[in-house]
This record gives sequence, C-alpha cells and structure tokens, in this order.
Amino acid sequence: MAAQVPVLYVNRDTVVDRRDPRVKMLLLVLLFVFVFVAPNPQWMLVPVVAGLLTAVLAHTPWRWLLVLWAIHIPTFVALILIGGWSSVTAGDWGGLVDAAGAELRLILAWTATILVSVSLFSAIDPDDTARGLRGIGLPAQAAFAVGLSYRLLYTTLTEAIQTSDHLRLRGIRLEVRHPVQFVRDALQVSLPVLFAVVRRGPTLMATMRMRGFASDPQLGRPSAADVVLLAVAIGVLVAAGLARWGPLSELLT
Amino acid sequence: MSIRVQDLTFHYPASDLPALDGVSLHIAHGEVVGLVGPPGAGKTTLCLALAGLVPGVTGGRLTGEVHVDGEDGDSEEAGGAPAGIVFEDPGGQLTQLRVLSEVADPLRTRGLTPADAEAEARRLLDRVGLPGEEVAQRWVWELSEGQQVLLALAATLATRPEVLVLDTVMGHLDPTHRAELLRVVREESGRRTVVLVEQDAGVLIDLAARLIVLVDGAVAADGPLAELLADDDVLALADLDAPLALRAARRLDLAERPLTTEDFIDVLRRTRVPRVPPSPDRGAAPPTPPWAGEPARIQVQDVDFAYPDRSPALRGISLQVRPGEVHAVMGPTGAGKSTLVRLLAGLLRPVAGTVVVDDQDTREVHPADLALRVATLPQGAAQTLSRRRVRDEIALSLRRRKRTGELDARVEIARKLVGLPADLLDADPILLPSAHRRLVALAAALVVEPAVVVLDAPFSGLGPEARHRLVATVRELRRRGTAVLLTEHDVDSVAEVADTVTVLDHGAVALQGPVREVFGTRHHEQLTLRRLELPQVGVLARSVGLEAYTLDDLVAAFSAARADGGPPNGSVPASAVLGRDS
Repeated sequence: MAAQVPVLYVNRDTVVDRRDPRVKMLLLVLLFVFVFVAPNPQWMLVPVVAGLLTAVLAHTPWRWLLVLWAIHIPTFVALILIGGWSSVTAGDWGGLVDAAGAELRLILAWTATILVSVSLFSAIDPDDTARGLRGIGLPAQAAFAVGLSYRLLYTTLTEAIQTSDHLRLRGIRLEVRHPVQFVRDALQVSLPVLFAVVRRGPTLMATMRMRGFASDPQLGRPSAADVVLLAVAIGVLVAAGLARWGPLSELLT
Repeated sequence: MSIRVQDLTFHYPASDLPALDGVSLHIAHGEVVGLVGPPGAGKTTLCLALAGLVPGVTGGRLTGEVHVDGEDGDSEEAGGAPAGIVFEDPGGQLTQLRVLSEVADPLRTRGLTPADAEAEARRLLDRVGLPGEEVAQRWVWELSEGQQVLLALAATLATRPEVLVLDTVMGHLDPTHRAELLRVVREESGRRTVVLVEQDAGVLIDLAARLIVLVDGAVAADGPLAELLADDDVLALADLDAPLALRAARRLDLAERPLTTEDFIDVLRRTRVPRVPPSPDRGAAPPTPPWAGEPARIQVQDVDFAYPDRSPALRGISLQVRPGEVHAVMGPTGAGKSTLVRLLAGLLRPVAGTVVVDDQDTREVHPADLALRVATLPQGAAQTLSRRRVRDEIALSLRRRKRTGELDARVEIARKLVGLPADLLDADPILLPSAHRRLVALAAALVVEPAVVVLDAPFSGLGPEARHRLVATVRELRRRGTAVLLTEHDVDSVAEVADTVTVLDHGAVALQGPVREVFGTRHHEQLTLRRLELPQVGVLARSVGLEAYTLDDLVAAFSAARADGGPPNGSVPASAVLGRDS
C-alpha cells in the first residue's frame, strides 16, 4: 500500500508558483536578515502583510499556516510571561501587557517567518529546492547535502507514519489525551525511525552518487517580474536598515 | 565494457571479518551473470564495489582492484556511468520526490535541457511499464513497491550505465511488473553487462547463462548456470532451490535433469516415466476440511473503504476465515490487499459494513488491544525493530501489556514456532540479515499466542531457506487451529500453504473459493486478466496436459494419468506419460 505523507507543496499555476526558485530562496534569505534589521513592530508588520499576501496569491492551505503558527503559541506565551514575571509576582498584572508590547516585535518576526516561508515553500516544487540553492551559488557539495537532507526528511515522515502504526499493534498506543505517556511512546517510535533513516542513508547517498549531481541547475535567466520582486525586497531591507541605523532613522521610525 | 575484479578484499568499519575475501573474476561485455549466495554472503557489497562506491560511501578498508573497461573506451567520456545499481530497498533509493523528476534529474545532470530530459524520462517510464502523466506526476512514496523498483530501474537506465546491477528486486514485483522488468533486462542484455543478484532459479534460468556463487565473501563456484543449478552441493551452498522442472523430474524419478518447462516436455517425449505409486485417495470425494463446521474467526461483511481523497479502496468485500484455515488474499498492485490488512488490524475503520475478528468488532476496540488476539505482521515490520536483544524484541508486546508471567517460556515458544536459531536470542536485531529480522518480527507478533494471524505479503523477497521456514510456521499455525489470512502475489506460495483464496481486483472480490477451484482451468483467463499467473507447477502440469498445483499434485496426476491410459489433453504423447511398459 502506498504511504500517505503530508506534503506542503501544492502543484498550482499561481503567480507565486511561476517565480524563479532562486528568487524564492533569496527572498527567504532577505526575510531572515530583515527580521534582525527591522527597528520596531511597525516595520515588522511589513513581512507579516507580505506573507499574508503571498499566502493568498499562492493559495497556501490555511490549515498548514494555522497549525504551524499555533504550535508556537506556547512560545509566545512563555516570552510574555518571562518578560512580565517580576510584575506578576509583584501583583501588577498590567505589567504583562507591557511585556506583551515589548515582545511584540519578536512575536511578529516569528509570525512573518512562518507566513512567508510556508507560503513560499507551498509554491516551490520540492524537486526545485536543491536546484534553486545551487542557482544562488551554494557549492555543489553543500547543495547535494541539502538535497539529501530534504529527501531524508520525507523518508523520515514516511517511516514515522508506518512505524507508529506497527508499534501500535505491539502495545504502544500513542494517544494524545495522555500527554506524558504520549511523549514516552513517541520516544519509543523515534528509535526505529532513526534506525530506518540511518539504514537508508547510505543507500540514498550511493544512489545519488551514481545518478550524479550537476553543478549547473539549468534554470535559465530570471524573468523581469522576478528581478523587480527581488529589487523591491532589497529596497525594503535597505530602507529598514536606514531606518534603524542610517540618516533616515528619525524620518522612518 | 567488461569487468575485471582482482583479489578484492573489503572490511566494513569496525569489523574484523571480511565482507569480501579475495574475490577475483572477469565478466565480459554484454554478459548476463547471476550472482547468488546465502544472506550475508557479500553480494550487495560486491555490487557496491563494482560501482566504485566502496569504501567511498560505506567506509572501511579495501584492497585489490576493480576495473570496468573495454572496447568502448572510458565510460565517463561516453556520457554514461560505469555502473548503475537497482537496490533491494525499493523506496530507499529514490532521490527525488516526484516520479518524473526521479528519471529526468540524472538526464539533466548529463547535460540534457529540461524539456529534452522530461521527454526522455517519459519515454523511459513508458519503457519500464510506468506510462501516463498521472503516474509521472505522483510523489514517489505514492507508488507501490513494485512500481518503485521499476522507477528506480528507469532512473538507473537514464544514467546509461555500462554495467547494470539488479540487487534482489524480483521479490517486490507482482507478475505484471516482473514481466516488465524481465523484458527490459532481456532488451538490455548484449547492449550492456548485467549482474543479476537473485535467489529465484526460474529468473536466473530465464536471463543468465553464467552463475557466480558467493559464500562468506569469497567465490565458492563460478560456471555455466545449467551445470551449477543441477549440482545439489552448489544449491545448498548458495541457498537456492532447484528449478521446478528439475524437482519435478526428480519426484518422477526421471534420469535426466531438465531445467526449464521446455526441457521437461522434451525429456517426457524422449524417455518413459517410471511407475509412480497411485494416489490412495484417487476417485474419492475431496475430504471435508476440519475447520468447515467451525464458526468463522474473521468475518468481513460488505465492507467499503475509501481514503481521504475519496478514491474507493475496497467495495463490498465479504470473506470468512475459520479456525485452522489459511486464507490467501491475492490481486494486482492497488487491488486493496494492504488496506484489508489494516482494516483487520483495526488501524482503519470501514466506511460501511463490518469487520469482526475473533468475535470483536474492530470499530469497538483499540488496535493495541485487538493485537492481543489478532497478530498482524504488516509489510516493513522488520524495519521497526529497536530493542537491544532479539529476546527483548520478541517480548516487547507482552511487556507493554504487563503480561510478564512465564515470559522466557513464551519467547521460546514463539522462537521455535518461526524457526529462529536459538543462538540469535541475545543478538542485536538491527544487525541481523534481513531474512532473520523478518523472522524476529514474526515471532514478536506471534508471542501473544493469537487466535488469528494476519500476514501482509510475508513471502515477498524471501530466499528459499527463509521461505521454507515461513511455510512450516504457517502450517504449524493451521495445525494449532489458528485462523490465518495472508496477502500475497506469489502464487506458488499460495498454492503451497493456502486452503482458500480471495482474488481482489480494484477493491472488489473477483474470485473466491478453495485454492484448487480458483486456480482451476476455467478461471485461468480471469487470473491472467488480473495480472496473476498459475503456480509454476500448474504451468508445468498444463504443458503436459495435466492439472496440478503442487509437486505432490503433479505426482498424483501422473499416477492417475497412467491408470486412466493417458493425460487428459494429450499435449505430450501418452507413451511419454504412461511409459513404454504400460
């Protein structure tokens, strides 16, 4: 029976799908730089809005966005609690609001990263990922390693689903309603999954060696729209940098 | 391109025992060679060495030389790879995520434009029997194991290898996929050197002219296939079963040693068959099986099932299995066999109808609880072993349920039942050969002493020794009154162990009944339509105008034909079957 593996990518012909994989990779790199450069929460709203817009244009499955964002809610709560802990212990619950305000930049950065990366990856054919990385100048060996890891990720997912089914038949229940037991059971599942991946690693590497791994990604020239998009993204990043450290910091913040 | 191996010795990291021990051989350009040996003989390691992947991928120490060279010059300059291997693990060798990319990527690597690479990839997919855009756009994990093997073959052919190595791949294939692969290998032979690692004598006879036997990393025999396959000592060394025609000839006390059906017929034409004792049951009505009156332990009633994409996997399935009955579910890839197994294990719930196993509706019980009464061995179960010792692995199911009374005794019973050597109980299961890991997984399922056993493709990819052990285990379960359901596309194994058969096609029951009835002449066309073959004995028997499904049947049919004055259809002269003295 064929395995059922969740895949983020959805094959559609949207304006996001049609973008060059190198440009999508570079946009992700620019985003990761931007979240450190952006001077305040208002600037951090720019990638959040861009991420939402990308999600709409790419028809990204909302379930993926919600699940991946919801996973981080405990982190957001922890950040606020840690920031406002001294106020809470002093009985000043208003301090929590201040802490939330202070951590807002970080929470928005996290949200923007999830929105943009999930939207872009939902529109990058996984087989083009390693090609895109080679296209932006990653050395062939490094791109080979990324390609191998990417394939192993899906191998792991396939193995995890099958292994958990097999182990349920041996008494490992994996019931979420008993969280402590669930964690212990999940550890029991992780071991054979790890062994399976380790066992398959050399076969996969041997096959990739035999099949070859080209240094030329054969992606051709990016389109005018790709160049414009990249230029806009670089412009926004430069503006954020200027707003934070440059002569325009007074004007733009 | 020819292959020259000179005094090749290889040790895996941290191992003092050599995986290859002074191997020397020469394989000529265009030759098709069978490479055989028991588990752990070093066959895969030798294949990796031929492809230049040892010790680069494996690590370890290598001495000696491997040359892939010949009249065509350097293979890299010709744009092809020196060697391409299709490995035993179907899914583990797929490097891309999508079917088309898997084949197109190596072509792009070799300089084809994306459009040309895709066109050539589609041609190769079509050639190996995976045609159509729908298949080309699938994720690789959505293919069946057989389809994954064919995809790996197409991707390997895309690298234009000078030496094509097929490492134990036939066991994953249903008859149609097997025929596709055999056809491609026949087309490739002569064009490139082919090394066929295979434990099925029938396949070897079909394709190879030469056999190399590897034992403990060293070449134990190397010579003409026909000669070596007729040598019992070589067969024992190589863990090979004699070809069916030869086994049949021996059972009939023929002096000659035919290897193929054609040879068998030829021998029958030229020689007389000695008298074989008539069957004592001849003429009597078939005996009523002991389980006939028992209430069914597996009751599947009008079951429908569909996956989340709403494509129907099963439609209106009904079947029953009684205590002491072995029921085989057969069908081509995608027929719904594994889905049925997951329903029986409680891992899936039917959309309509009921699945009752050992008086328990599977919808009303957790799969972990059901597994105490219904031992299920899914495909790939041997990949989920994780304990440090085999005995702990077998005991896991009991320990998890806190049933630790007489634990050692129950582990021992399960070990004996599956025929696992006692000295392996303290071994690390992860490090065992694949055949032994599968026996451990089977023992781990049977340790709960279930009333019902469900086995998903248990014979797939097994060598003869492991297969004989599994047949013995299934027969012992039947003797103990356990209801056994197994899915299988190996018709020979089904003919050997099963009492009754259900043939599925596109999720619905196409044929159902006792083995002899389903494999009978009147159903032959329906079986062929559903990509199923007759058992090899059946083919052999039909070629001489008889009907039989096992070797015992064949001997009985011959004795009956002698008594009646000739074979029913007379494709071979009656004198051949009856002998000149009749």
